[in-house]
Formats: sequence, C-alpha cells, structure tokens
Amino acid sequence: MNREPWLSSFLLRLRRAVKYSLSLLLGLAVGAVGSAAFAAFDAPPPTREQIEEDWLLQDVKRGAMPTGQTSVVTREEDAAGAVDGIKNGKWGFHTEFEENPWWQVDLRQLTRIGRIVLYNRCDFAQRNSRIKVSVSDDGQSFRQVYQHDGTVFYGFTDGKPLNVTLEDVTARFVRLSLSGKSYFHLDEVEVYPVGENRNVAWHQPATQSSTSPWSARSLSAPARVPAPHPLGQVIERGLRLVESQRQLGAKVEVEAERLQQIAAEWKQLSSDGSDARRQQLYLEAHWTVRAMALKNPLLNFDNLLFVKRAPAILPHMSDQHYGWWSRPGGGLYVLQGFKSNQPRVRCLTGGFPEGSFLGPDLSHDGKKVLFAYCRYYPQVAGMEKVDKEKLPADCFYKIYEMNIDGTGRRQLTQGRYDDFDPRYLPNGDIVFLSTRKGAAIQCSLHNSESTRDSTQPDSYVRCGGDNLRPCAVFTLHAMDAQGQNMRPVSAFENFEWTPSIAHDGRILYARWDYIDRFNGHFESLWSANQDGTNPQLVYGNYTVKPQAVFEARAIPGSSKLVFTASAHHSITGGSLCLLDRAKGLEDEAPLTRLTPEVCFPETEGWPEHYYANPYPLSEEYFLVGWATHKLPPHAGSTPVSDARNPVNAMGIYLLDAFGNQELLYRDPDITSMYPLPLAARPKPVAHSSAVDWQGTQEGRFLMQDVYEGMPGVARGAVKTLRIVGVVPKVQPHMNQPMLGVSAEDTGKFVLGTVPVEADGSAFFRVPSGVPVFFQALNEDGQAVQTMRTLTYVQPNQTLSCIGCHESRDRAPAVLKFPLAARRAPSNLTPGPSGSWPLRYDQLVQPVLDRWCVRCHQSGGGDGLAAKLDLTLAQSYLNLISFGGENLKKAAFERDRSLVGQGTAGTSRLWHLLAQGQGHQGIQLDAESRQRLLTWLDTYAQRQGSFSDQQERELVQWRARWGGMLDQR
Amino acid sequence: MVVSCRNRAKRCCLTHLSHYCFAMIRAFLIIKPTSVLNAVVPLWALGCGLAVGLGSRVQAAQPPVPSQRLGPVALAVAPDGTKLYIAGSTAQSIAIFDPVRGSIVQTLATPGAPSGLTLDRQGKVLVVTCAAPSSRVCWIDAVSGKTLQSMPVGHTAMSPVLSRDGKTLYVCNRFENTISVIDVASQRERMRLPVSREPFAADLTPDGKTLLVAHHLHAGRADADVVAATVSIIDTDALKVVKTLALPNGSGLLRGMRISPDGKYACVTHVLGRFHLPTTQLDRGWMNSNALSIIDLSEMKLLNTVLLDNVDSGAANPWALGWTGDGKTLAVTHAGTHELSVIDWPALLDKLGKLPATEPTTAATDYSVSSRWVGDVPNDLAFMVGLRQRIKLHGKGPRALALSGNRVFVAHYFSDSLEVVNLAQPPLKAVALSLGAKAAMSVTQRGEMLFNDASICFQGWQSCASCHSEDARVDGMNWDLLNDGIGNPKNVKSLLLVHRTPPVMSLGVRDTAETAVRAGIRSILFTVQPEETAVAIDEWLKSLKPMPSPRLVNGKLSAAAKRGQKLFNDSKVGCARCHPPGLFTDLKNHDVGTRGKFDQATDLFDTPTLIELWRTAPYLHDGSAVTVRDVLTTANPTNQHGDTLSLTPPQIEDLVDYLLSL
Repeated sequence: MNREPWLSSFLLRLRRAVKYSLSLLLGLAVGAVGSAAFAAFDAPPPTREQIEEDWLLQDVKRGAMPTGQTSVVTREEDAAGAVDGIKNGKWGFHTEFEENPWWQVDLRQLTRIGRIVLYNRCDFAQRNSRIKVSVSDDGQSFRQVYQHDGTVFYGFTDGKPLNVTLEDVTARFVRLSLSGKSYFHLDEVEVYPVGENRNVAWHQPATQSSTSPWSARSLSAPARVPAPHPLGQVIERGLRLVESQRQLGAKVEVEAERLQQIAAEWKQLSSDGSDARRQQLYLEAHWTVRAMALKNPLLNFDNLLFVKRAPAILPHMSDQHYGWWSRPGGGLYVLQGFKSNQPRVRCLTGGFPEGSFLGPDLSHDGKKVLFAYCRYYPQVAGMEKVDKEKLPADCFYKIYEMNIDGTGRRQLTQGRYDDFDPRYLPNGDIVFLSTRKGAAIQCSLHNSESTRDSTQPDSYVRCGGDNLRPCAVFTLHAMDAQGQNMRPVSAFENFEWTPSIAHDGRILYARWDYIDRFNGHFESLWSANQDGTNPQLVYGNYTVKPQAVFEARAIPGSSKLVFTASAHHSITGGSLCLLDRAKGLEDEAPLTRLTPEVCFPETEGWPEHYYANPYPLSEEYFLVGWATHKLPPHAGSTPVSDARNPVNAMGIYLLDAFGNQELLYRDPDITSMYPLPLAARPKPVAHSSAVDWQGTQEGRFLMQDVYEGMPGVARGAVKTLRIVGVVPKVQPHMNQPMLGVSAEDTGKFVLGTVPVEADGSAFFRVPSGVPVFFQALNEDGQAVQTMRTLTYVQPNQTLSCIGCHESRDRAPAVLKFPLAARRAPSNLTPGPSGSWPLRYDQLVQPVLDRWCVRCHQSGGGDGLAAKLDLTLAQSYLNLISFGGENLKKAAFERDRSLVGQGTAGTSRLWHLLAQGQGHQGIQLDAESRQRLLTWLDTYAQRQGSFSDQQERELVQWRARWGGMLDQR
Repeated sequence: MVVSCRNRAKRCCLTHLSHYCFAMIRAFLIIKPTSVLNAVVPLWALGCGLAVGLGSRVQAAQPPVPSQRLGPVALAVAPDGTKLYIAGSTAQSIAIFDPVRGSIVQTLATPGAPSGLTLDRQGKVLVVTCAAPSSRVCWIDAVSGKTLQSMPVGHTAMSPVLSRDGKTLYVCNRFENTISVIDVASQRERMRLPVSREPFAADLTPDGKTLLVAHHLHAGRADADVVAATVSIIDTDALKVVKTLALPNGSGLLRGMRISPDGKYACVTHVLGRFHLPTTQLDRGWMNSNALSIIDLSEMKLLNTVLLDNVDSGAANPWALGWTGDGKTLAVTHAGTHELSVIDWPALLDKLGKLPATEPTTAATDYSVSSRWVGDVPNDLAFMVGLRQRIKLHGKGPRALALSGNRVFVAHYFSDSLEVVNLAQPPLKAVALSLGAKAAMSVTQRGEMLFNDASICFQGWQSCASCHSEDARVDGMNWDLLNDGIGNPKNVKSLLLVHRTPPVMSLGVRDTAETAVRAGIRSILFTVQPEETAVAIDEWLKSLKPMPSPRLVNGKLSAAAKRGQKLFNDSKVGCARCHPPGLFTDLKNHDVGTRGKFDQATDLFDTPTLIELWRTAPYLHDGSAVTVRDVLTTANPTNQHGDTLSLTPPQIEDLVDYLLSL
C-alpha cells in the first residue's frame, strides 16, 4: 500500500489502540504490534485485521471530502491548475470565451522576478501566441512587462516552454492575459526569482477572469481528518441497513438489537469519557453491520469471480485498453465462500505467460467465462507501434473462453488487434470491443472477417497520438460462439467502451460522440440492438458532468442503470451513479449519486479515491472496486509512474446505498477488480434481426417529419437533405494532416442530397456500414440545421426517425402517411464536383478562378482587392481568416447545432457574396453558389480525406455505389 | 361473539368444500364431450376440401362449457370491503372472495359467461351481465347468493352501470351497437339505444344525467388521415347521443372508462397506434403506444391524452381503471405487461393545467422538456414521470380492478389470480391473494395468454392483441408492414380461420398462418421466442369459433338474408365463385378492381373468408369501404367484384343482410 506518512502514523496509532481493546473484548491473543502487523494484507483473504484497518482507512479517505453534491467550480479552484505542478500539454485552467481573458497568481510577497516559464496547451497552442505578461504590487493596478511576438510555443510536447526573462521587475502579482475575445488556457505557469531555481508560484493562490464548462477543481478541498471513530455514522448507516434488510426478508433482529444497545451506550459516554471504550464500540458496531451486510438475501451465491491486474501504464480512457501499455501480473480468480470467516482464493489462469487480463463476463448459466488476455513484453511500451507487424502478435489483447473451473480454455480471436470486453449475447453470440474496424470506409462482415487472417491497418483518434502512442479506434463487433462470423456491430467513426446487455436485450455502451465538436466531454451512454441496428443516445449528449459514462449495467428488478462517472484523461474509475432514464437524458436530473463523496472526475475535480466496476444486486446493493489512491491523471504519451499510478490501488467491496462498504478482498501487491457473482443469472430477451449480412450492403433511412425538432423553421422551408459520409482517420499523428480549420475535423465526403417531401418526410438509400450525418437544406441549398453526431444502417435495415433534433422522449406524432414512404426510396444526388472526395481546390477554387481572382491577386484590381490573394496558393487561408477569422469560429467546435446557425448562414463571407446585388455586383451562378455553400456548410475544410490512398478509395467506392446514385 | 365467528367460519368451509366437490364432479362429467370437440380440430386441419364436407357453414361457436378455470374479467368490492365479487368468465360463475380469510367463500353459477358486474350502493344486490348472442342480465342477492331476477338483453352484454338510486340500469350490447336502458323496478327494457360501433365500457355521472360510452373500435374508413374510436355522450333524460367525442388520431381498442368520484372527469384507457408509419421498429412507441384519455365533463370535451409508457418501456394494453374514494389516486391495469399504474390524479391535472394552450414560437429547444404545450402531450413518453408508479404484478392478464379504501384489488384473466396493493404502505408492492388450486393451463389457453402477452415483446410495447384485440379479430386500422414492401398500408385482418385459409396477408405474402405467426413474433414483436410459443398461439387461433351474427333471428337467417343468400349463390351475380360457401374463399388472389391509392404495382388481392364479416369493418384490403354496402356499390364501379351493378337497391340490401349474417 502506498500511504502518505501522516496517514500511516495515524492508522498505526489507531490500530494500536484498537488491537488492544479488541483483544480484551474478544479474548483473542494479542499479536505483536509493530511494522510487521502492517503486513496483514499478505494473507490471501481478508483477515480481521485487514478488515478493521480498511474501516479506518475508509473513515479517513471517504470522510475527507465533503459529502453531498459538489458545488460549482470557483475561479480560484480552476486557476490553481496552472500552479499545481502537473504538466501534460492539456489545459490547467480554462476561462470562458470573453473579452480580454486573464489569469493571475499571488506570490504572497514582493518578489524580484527573474523569469516566467509558460507551458502551453499543446492542441490549441496558437491562441497564446500573443500572450501578455503584467505585474502588480497590490493586485489592483497592473503594468505590462512583456508581450509575446506571435510565434507559437508548446512546452510539454517539445520540452520548450516559453521562457520570459525579465529585468528589474519586482512585484507580488503576475497576470497573464490575451487581447480581444478568446478563451484563455495554459498548462502550467512557473515563476522564478532572480538567481534562484525555485518556482515560487507553485501552489500559490491563483485566480482568473472567469470559469467555463472546461473548468475543473484543481484545488483539493483540504484533507479533513475525521474525528476518530465516527461511531454515530456507523450506527446510522447500520440502522438504515437494518430497515432495508428487513424489507428483503432477512433475519437481522440480533444485529438490530445490538446496534441499538451500542447506540444507547454511546449516548451515555461522556464526551471526555473513555476513548478505549469508544473504540471498542466502534469496532463492535462495524462487525455487527458487516455480519448483517453479508446476510443479505441478495447475496444468494457463495463465490465471486474477479480479476487481478495492474492498470495500464498510460492512464487514459482509450489507451488503457491497448496491450502495449499493459503491466504484467494477475489473472482471473475465484473468491470462494466470500461470506464465510475463511474465504479462499483460487486462480483460474495458471499457465498463461506473464501478461494482463481484462473485463470478464460470465455466461448466463454461470458455467463459462469470457475474458481478454495479452502477453507482457517489457520492451513494447517503448517501441514505435504504428507498424504493427513489428510487434509480437500476442502483445494485443485477445478474447478467450473457459469453464469456470479453468478447464476447456480456448482462444477465440487472433491477430494484431486489441479485442476485449467480451459479453455474451442472449442468442449465444459474443459482442466485444475491437480495433478491427480499422480504416474501412464501409464496414461489413467481409471486412471484419478479413481481419481474422491478415493484419489490416488501424484507424486513429483525431485529437492525439504519435508513433510511440498511436490511438487505434475500437468499436463494437460481434462473432459467434466459435469466433466465426465476425461482423461490425457498429460503424461508428470513434471509440466505444464498456458494453453490457440491458434487460430488454439492447447493448448499452459508451461512445465518444465527438463529431465536429469539442473532444473533451461527450463520452455519453448509447444503446443499440444486438445486431447493431438503431444506435441511439441513452444519456448525456450535452452533459459535461459526468464526463465519461462508463460501465453502465442494468439493475436486477429495476428499470434503472448503474454506471461509473469516469474521466477522459485517466483509467476507468470515479463516482458511482444510478441513472433513471425515464427522468431525463441530460445532466443531474436523472441521476442519483451513490458515492457523493467522490466528485465526477475531471469536470468536477480529481478525487483522492475512486470507485469502479459496479455490479448491481439491486438499486441499493453493489459489488464494486474501490481504490484508495488518487485517480491517476494522464500525461500525454508518457507512461505515468507507479507512484502516481499504483499497481495495487483497488480492492473489491460490497457497497450499499446507505454508505456501508465492506471489504471482500484486497491483494496488497496488485489491484483486484471486476467482481462478478459466480452464479446463473436471467438471460435478457433476444432481439430478432432482419439484417442480411451477406446481402446487398445497403439500407434505407425514413424520416417522418424533418420539422419535428426545428422550432421556428416554416413548413416547406426544407427542400433537401444533404447526406455526408464520415471517413476514419488513417494517420496516427496528432494534427496531421490538418483537414480544415482545426486539427480535429472529421474526414468527410458528400454522398449527395435527397428530396424532402412537402410534409417533411424523406426516404432514401444509403450504403450500409458507413457513418453519416444529415443537413437540412433550404431552397438555396443552405443548411438550416445540421447533425453533430453520426448514424448508420446495417445491410437491409430501414431505420426510421421522427425528425431533426426531435426530443428523445417523444413518440412520433400521428399525422399522415409520410409522402416519401409512398414511393421507392430516393437515390442520392451527388453534390458538386469536388465534394466527393471533398477537396477545396476542386470544389471552391474553380469558383474563385472564375469570379474573383481577376481582382484578388497580386497586381490585379485595386490595392485592397489585391491584398486578399485568392489564387490557389493563398485562397484557403485568406478565406477562412476573412472577417476576423469569422469562418474559423463558425466552422469549429460548437457543442450543439442550433437552427439557422449553419456555417454558411453565419459566415460573413457568404453574407458578402449573397446579399443584395452581390459583392462588386457579381451575381454568382447557381453552380457556383452550390459549390460555396457545400464547402461552407461542411465546415469549410481544405480536404475531406486523411491520405491520398483514402481519397482514391473514395473514388472507388463512388463507382461501387453507383446504383444508389442519380448521376448528375 | 367468538362462537358466532367460529360458526360462520365452519359454514363457509362447508360451502367451500361442497363447491369443490361439485367442481370435481363437473370436471369429470365434461371430459368426454370436450375430447369429442377436440377431435374435430385435426379434421379441420386437413384443409379446405374437407371443410366443405363439414356442411355449408363453418361450425359456429357452441355455448361454452364451464371450466375449472375461473378467468376473471370483472371485480366488484362490497362497500365495507369485506367481500370481493369476481366475474369468472371461463368458469361461468361468480366467485365471492373474503379478503380477511384470503379465500373464496362462495361460488355462484351464472347463466352464461359473466362479462361484467356491479353492486348497488348498499352492496345488497349484485348485477351481472352474462354475455352471449342472447345475453342475460341477472340480479343476485349479494348476501345469500340467490338469483333474484334475470332478463334478456342484446348481443354480448357487458359493462352494466346502475344509477345511484338503483332505479335504472344501462348495459352495453357490444355486437349489437346498442345500449339497453332498463327500468329496474319494473324489469322492463325502456329502450335499446343505438350507438356507434362496439360499446365496450360505460359510466354514469354522479347526478345520473349523463352516460358515457366508450367504443372499442372506430367506425370509419381506415385509409383516412384521421382514424380514431370515439366516446358517446348520452343524455339520460332525452335518451339520445348528444355528443360524440373523437379521441386523438390512432386511438383504438378502448377498454375501460370511469368517471372520477367528484364527477368532473372521465378517463378512458386505450391503445394509441402510430398507424401512419411503416413498422420498421418499436423504439419510443413507433407502432403502438398506450394511453389514458381524460374527458373534462364540465365542458364535455377531451382535456388531453397522456401516454402510460416510459421512453424505453411500453405499458401495453391498458385495461381496467378506477379511483380511490377520495379521488386522489387513479389506478390502471396493463393487461399486456402485467402491471398496475398508480397515478397521482391531482398532480396530473395540475401538470396538464399548467401547459400553454398554444405552441410557443421560441426558436430554442430545451431538450430536457418534451411537452412545451398541450399539443405535445399525446406524444410525450416522459409526461407521467413523477406522477405515476408502475407496479409489477405477479399474475398474467390483469383485466379487472376494484378499489376499497386504500386497497387496489386486481384480478388476472390468465393466471386466475388475485392481488392487492395497499396504497397506504409505500414502497408500493402487489401481494398475491390465493384463489385456491387451479387447473393447469392447456396449450390452447397458453396460446391465448401469449397472444395477449406484451412481456414477450421488445420493451413491452405491444402484444398480438394490440392490433387484433384480445380475441384475435381486428382493430380496424391500416398498418404498413414491411412484409410486402413499404408504403402500402393494409387493414388488419381477423385471424379467425386463418390457419384454414392460406395464403395469409392481403397480398398472400405468407404461405401459411404458421409462417405468419412466426413472422409476427419476429417482425412485429421484434423478439426471438421458443417454438412452443408459436405452436401455442397456432393452437389457440385454430380453436377460435365464429361468433353468431347479431343479424341472425333465433340463430337463423332472416327472410331478407335468405333472399340475399340466393343472390349470393346466383352464378350471374357471381359472389360464390370466389367466396364458395364453406370457408367462403377459394384461397386465391383475384383482381376485383379494388386497387387503392396506397397500393403498389398489383391488382391481385387475397380472397378473404366472409365468415364474421359483420364484425370486421372497414372492408377491403385497405379498409377503404366503411360498409358492406359500400363494397357492393361505390367500391365496385367497374362491376369486377361480382355483378352488383345489375342488382336493384332492395336486392343489394338483401345481399348485405346475408353477408352480415355469416
């Protein structure tokens, strides 16, 4: 165990007292008290000492933070993130989008400042290229001492922070600011006095101009050591347990009576009374509660399955699932007789070479177990990983199945792909996560099957990565019980996590719904049918807190779910929540916090301890993992040290909604997690499927009424839908290539447009397995509404929807037979030349060449026109920077789409060209207008593909899908 | 005191025992005739050739034989809560249950299957409707169990409603489309009031001045934009329908209706079908949602319609309902998902009352609120959140409900069981009350249960009965199933004789009914079920018998119908060519010029049987003909559908009369 020194001594003192009193109380032999006693965790199952020590530890850890819902992050709490010593290339603080944002630190005394060192946020480094430094003696009047020259600096990624050397500056406050309207964020700020190598800004009070949705609590609440032996709390929680157990029909009279007696005696104890007696009562109350907790009729099984593993060395929601970041050790274990006084632990995975084990699932009859395993190679973490052929094939996680006694082991998947989190489907098939979707533009059974005997390239996340740390996208796949018939359950472009099967048979999973919007928050909860049809949001499309909705599971006998509110930049873990979907689908309304003492990580702060792996027995009882260490924050491509990311932080517990938490097992050397009852459980309903995996790779969308969900748009205003296909990123490198205004644009191509009937309905063909989004276009072909998410159909599926952005709590209105359904599904009418593949030079430049370049080139027109060079070499940068970078801002990173606020509709450029008599009297022809509108509304990108090869593939697909296209 | 209690207990035991012996003897006696009846089924299964040999008509339903199973369909509770009266439609008896002792204390045989019952305000007299082509209504002494009086009413009587003063009784004659208005004192039927199609439930305002009648099915075309069943408002002084309230578009299969204790509102349970949409999925009530319509009696208008489903969990086939005496709680049973909804009635009214009456014009959308104005409510799957608790019941098919004080009693039609929920003891849960040992379910009975069971459907949105009603007939709606392509909605067909009249569906796209049953489980319920489920449903469907037509006079064709029969068989008119007597179908597709506005490129449609034609309106594959007369006249302009152009109007009427007698 890693413990802070003060905690160790505190526990030691407690244990000494406790042990003494206990031995008197229980008549046990008194063991030697000393450092040897701390090796109590060595014994495999929890000993009495281990259990008692755990209660004390819980009092310290769980009592250290205020209970109840965490309040709004203050400016001071966010600002502290730039002086917390954590440098990772992300933002340490983050203001709102506002005029002249600033941040400042109070050095608490007048200091002769020698230099200031600034670490930038590396994915938006350009924002700070003209950063200003001011100082003040009193915090009121500031004087500027520096402004940066416009060059972009980084810090974390390149080891070259901005070093601002000052001469003859003495001040107490240092303020950093930007001019004009902007967000403001930095990774870290260091201040060094003249001639000293001591950062005097570290942990000093800081504040800033505003907070934003990205603000987080970097200033931990001061650790509050609870009063020794919070006996009142133990009794109160215990009595609530009594009530609940009685409802469940448990016989708890003896325990209830004993708790009442203890409570009575405790009240009699005078405040200056015997501390020893208080301690005795404390422990006795705990033992009484524990005995009762383990009598719970819902614990109608004797053995638990669990996993010992060291969490990944690179703590990040995605990287933690790659075999190459694994740390060795552990396996699958059974905790036998966990309710008895003498539980035993048995390993099921002897004989595996040293490696790592992930996410098990038990068959519904409780007789077989699925899990993932990868072999550990010490050198792999340090290797370049993009060329997978250079890596050992077994360093990737692979799916295995065996009987629960460890016999009959077989490997179900092969190859250089990470396959993990397998789950039994009701029909006997297996759904799992895998990197096998790879770079395919059209996902199909054929593609998935081809990965079984060849190494196909991966696709990658858009906002990070390099050769050392490629971030291969993994999504839902399925296969039959023999590992055959592998198919893509999902065609989503980005990551998906932690599948489970709900009572109604749907697959619940988290998905990174990061499509032309901010990358941070939207790891929301989705569901799909067992064949992957009807992917739909369950919770959290716009929700920031919690950030990652991971490990959702259906609760027996309830319509609610339990999940782990997890972090983006760490391993899976955080605060446990109940979700009642009937009560809403965003923010706090549908949630009940089960562990309110743990904040939602990252967006509410970084908790000092955390939960994971909830397995619900009811709405009130859960098997969980609890870690006594701070959730380890991610540090770019750099593995995080064992000290910050311990191999042994977590043990398994029985937790209830009243706050009682009983240790079931903890190994001092390695994390124990994923507790599952080793028993049969009801099989969810199998969902029938009309998907024809072998058939034509095509499906259909039917929209009932496009106006449903578009308030303010007059009926008849929408004439067509634009269907935009999204392609996977095939480069592992962050920011390369820049497709458009940001490093994070999705790859796109315009599949075409389809008609919207007078009643708002549309019915059209699309290739299956291709992620698409829709834009509702008006008479001019300008987008009035756009989707910042993706959907797709499976072969032979018709997916119906109500409208654009309709409420997710609505049934379709009963109006009329949709006009579009009365005819054959529309073919796609391809967009203008240069929209498939999407290329600015072919889509937009011909328009400029025809209408604009005559004046807008050096030597052409008047001086002003000549300055805005619109020849091919310069036009892209000039156009997207036109009007104060208005287009850049319009095209990038809004978390939600609003009616009428498409890129073209809000762009100054389009306004200039389309208004009145047009710019300089030029009336663009229809074709030119279409080209410009198509470009603007698909986020004004320079290109839609990540490589030449991908672009060639898109041309090939266009030919293959010709039957679905109306040729122009 | 103690002694008398003991005596009473002893007496009851004896009564119970004798009833048990009687039931045993009766069960023994009926074994033989039942097996003979069953033996007919395999013969039928041999197909159409033999069917003709069985006679010119398919065998009509025999009076049902009493069974050991109770089959509760209605409940009444004594004013003091000491007795529950259970209408056992399968057993053809009323079971009297003592909630304190937890057992049946008396069983009263009834002349036919009881379909509804009500108690007078004193709890002294029990009024029972016994449904049959010639129904009877009985007055029973609630204490002694003696039948006091009995009189004939119309075809399939149900939902008896007694005025507060006990002087007037109203009875719905479901298949006769009439209400019997009975003067209790004189035992005279004052009037048989014609109403719209299939009056199924009724209730009377406390002042006795207004009778509301809920109609099970709509009475119009099915290919219209608006298709909805109605509620009739009847002035009991004038004895006429003064207003017809249309429920929201898609409303059908109205089952239960009650007026609130304060007399201000009426509530109706029904299915709200989204019938305009191709049936691609079930998520979020895409096909059928399940609703409660609220009628404001002060203005005699529909206040609104709320959905009883949740966003990811349907609450199929809402059926019985009732308020607590204080009017604070409304309880609704869900016969499809086997649940009870307990609704905070004042809170529901309050929430409805606060919504704007017109659509707000703001451009912003608040994704956390689904209902922004009253018009959003009928599509809002979150409206009841916080206003209602859904309570899982243990039994199957809760079709009957009664309230007494804080207790809600629910009786289950299929599982033959009774449960009680005590509203004063949160968290609310259902406690089973024993109705004694019961006979095992036959395959046929299981099939009927599964046909009505939405718990096997994806998310519980619907059962087979959500479109075919509980007895496998019709809901009168058009549905755009995917089995024949998208965009060509077809009228729901009755499943009577479906196994004997292949192929199946209006275009004959399923070769047999067996295929269609399995396709329905897969593509309408979106689930995978074991083969036994489909087999049981097959067996039940095969066991269905035609209901004698209300047009028959003493079970025989009327004079007009006999004239019509001659025309029907006349080769010049040509009806019998494709509809030969027997099954009244040649099992082939024909072009009879009925291709409609939604049909795709085909003129050939399956020839349906004409048996029970009287209850399967609207007509033709697309439900475009409201009446059989329309089929013979306006829907046959080119004379392709038999030579009806040459028939005189009186001949048409005769032919109609015959067709509606089958």
